Amino acid sequence: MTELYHSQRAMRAMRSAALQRGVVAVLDVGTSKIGCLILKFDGTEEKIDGDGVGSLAGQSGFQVIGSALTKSRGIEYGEIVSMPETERAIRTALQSAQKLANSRVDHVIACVSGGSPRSYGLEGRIDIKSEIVDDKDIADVLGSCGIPAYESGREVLHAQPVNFSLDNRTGLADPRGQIGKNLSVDMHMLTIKEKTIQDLGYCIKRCDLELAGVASSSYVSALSSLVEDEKELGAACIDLGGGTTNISIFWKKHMIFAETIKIGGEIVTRDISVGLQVPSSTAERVKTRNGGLVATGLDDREMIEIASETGDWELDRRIISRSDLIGIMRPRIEEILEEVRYRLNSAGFDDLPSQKIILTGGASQVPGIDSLANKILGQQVRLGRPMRIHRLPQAYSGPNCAGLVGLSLFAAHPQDEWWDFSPRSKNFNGQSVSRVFRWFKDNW
Amino acid sequence: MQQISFFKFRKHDPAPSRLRYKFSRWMLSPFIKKAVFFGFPLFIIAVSILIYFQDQKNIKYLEEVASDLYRKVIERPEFMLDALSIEGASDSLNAEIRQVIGLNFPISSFDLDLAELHERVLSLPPVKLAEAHLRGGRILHIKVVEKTPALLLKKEFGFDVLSKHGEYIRSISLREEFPHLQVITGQGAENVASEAIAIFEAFYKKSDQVRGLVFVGQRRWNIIMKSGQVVMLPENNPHQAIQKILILDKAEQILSRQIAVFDFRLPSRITLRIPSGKHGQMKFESIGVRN
Repeated sequence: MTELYHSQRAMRAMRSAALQRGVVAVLDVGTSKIGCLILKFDGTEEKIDGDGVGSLAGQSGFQVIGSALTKSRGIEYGEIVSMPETERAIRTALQSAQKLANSRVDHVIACVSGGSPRSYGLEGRIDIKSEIVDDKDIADVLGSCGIPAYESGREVLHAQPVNFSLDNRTGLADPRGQIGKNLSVDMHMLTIKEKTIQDLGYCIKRCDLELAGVASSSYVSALSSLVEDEKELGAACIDLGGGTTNISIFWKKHMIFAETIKIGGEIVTRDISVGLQVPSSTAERVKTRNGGLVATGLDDREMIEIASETGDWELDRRIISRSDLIGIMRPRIEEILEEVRYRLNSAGFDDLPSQKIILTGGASQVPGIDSLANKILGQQVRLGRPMRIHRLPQAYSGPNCAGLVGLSLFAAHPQDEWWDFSPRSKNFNGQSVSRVFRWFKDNW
Repeated sequence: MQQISFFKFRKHDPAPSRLRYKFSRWMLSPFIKKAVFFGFPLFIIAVSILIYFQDQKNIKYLEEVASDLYRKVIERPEFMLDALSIEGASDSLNAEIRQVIGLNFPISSFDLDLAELHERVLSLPPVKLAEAHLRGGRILHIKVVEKTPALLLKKEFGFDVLSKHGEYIRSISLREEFPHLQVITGQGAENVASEAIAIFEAFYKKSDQVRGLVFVGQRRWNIIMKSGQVVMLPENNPHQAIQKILILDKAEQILSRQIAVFDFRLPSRITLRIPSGKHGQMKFESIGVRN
């Protein structure tokens, strides 16, 4: 635990070093694609007002100078299965992004979608000695949280203080400077498999880059897709990705739950490929160009040519109707959404005051998913698109790049985590300093 | 839908090789980027320039081109001077100025150093004041004020013309060039020219009889009359002595008497000396003057 604490602190230091240099890359290693943005921080950051929201919602102060999107290799369900392949894919993305940016980048902030994340709610409580809450007290109360016994081989990815209570008051975002006796904190902790993050770190190291931060993919896609009100009142962000579907629940501007389902858009492609007996590339093309979820009478008459190159003319020149395609796709998407419903229910999403659900990610572009989601997830569903950031290319502004944009926001304004507060030093406290002073006074 | 070619079994990998990736990153590192985009071209240019200038022929050629260009500009008709006009100088001085300036017209005004020209004109002895400026109409204009000749200083050969302050103006060989000027002589006489002028002015009534003044022993004056008579003036207050002579002359016509030397050196004891030689002849040795 302390080792991770130190490594996370080291990453934070790396991040601030990168910001000082002004150029940092964000890397979203997904199952179907690897995206890379190179951000330039020009120091024109806007002052954030009391609400914690700037005029551009924290998107000012940096711009995208390089970008690359490449097909992912060697990754299944968000986890690396072939290191050299993944390394090559990362190299491809980084090289073309660097070429576009015309600058070398040494620090990378990455996100992980796999690794079966698990959420824990933590609670800590201390008595305050000095009456006024300061940084040290925050560090103490965060340190006093009882760490749940998670399995070995897992690592803490996020440990974010969600809510502070001082005596009887609760819902404090920042209790520093307030007067009270009892300080307690609710913390949300997310653990993932150690191997996943180690593999990713190793791949990035093989590309001569330094890892300056890691974030959960569920968290970052919610950062870019949810608006402030939704984050405040309670909302779930469903990132329908290629290999995984990431769920995160936000309430009071903090993530309180994250989860990953290992079903994604590629399963749909595989279904089409199996069902229509076509190669997966053809299946992918048919899915993206003609896919849909709600069949109408018109779809019976809309015919899709499926060309393949097996050499068998009869097999290569088949024509199917769009209804057939919908018939293959719909059950799988339904299954994904039902799984999401199940996970949300088990997380207690129903108890939140507002139950907004935001669908984002590549698979949310399927026509008709909003009406299907309405039936399964409830009426408060909307399709989310990532926020705009400065000089983001048009090709990256779709929901499939929500994670990438969210990662940029995360790089610019990371949430305070447990390791951002240095704990009170035990062996060199104020008393010994005053003793040294007294000694100097007496002897000189 | 992989196309399997007979000759090329392995599909092209879009990923850059490790070496290529490292190289591209190295090329993008700030120092190398600057070196490639600025340093290297600058180096090439610098080296080629150096090589070019290794050859003396090229240097000479470039110098020629540059000076040609320079001359072409400064020798445009707008900058050329055609004539010299001199104002306020006598003919002889005019010729002297022209000689001392020594310019061959037409000349470009860029080749002219007006300050130096001014110095040169001022260095001529007869010139008191001078101005040199360019006047419209492509003329170099020089305006001078000459010193006025006031005295002649007799030298061993010929005379020096002096201004009233004793400044040297020019040398002449014949007294006749300035018949109206009085003659002085003696060692250091030019330094006290104004005294001589004062004496001449005081003695103006008899000026037609005066041959000249002699500065004796660098302290006092002798008046030499045309008749050979000598009036020795005292060192202090010679005007009083002159007044005395004039009064004596008026009363006694003393100057027309046969007296060789009027010794006024001691005002309280005026001495007159009779000529020692033949009648009416002066012995100049006795008065310490060699003519």
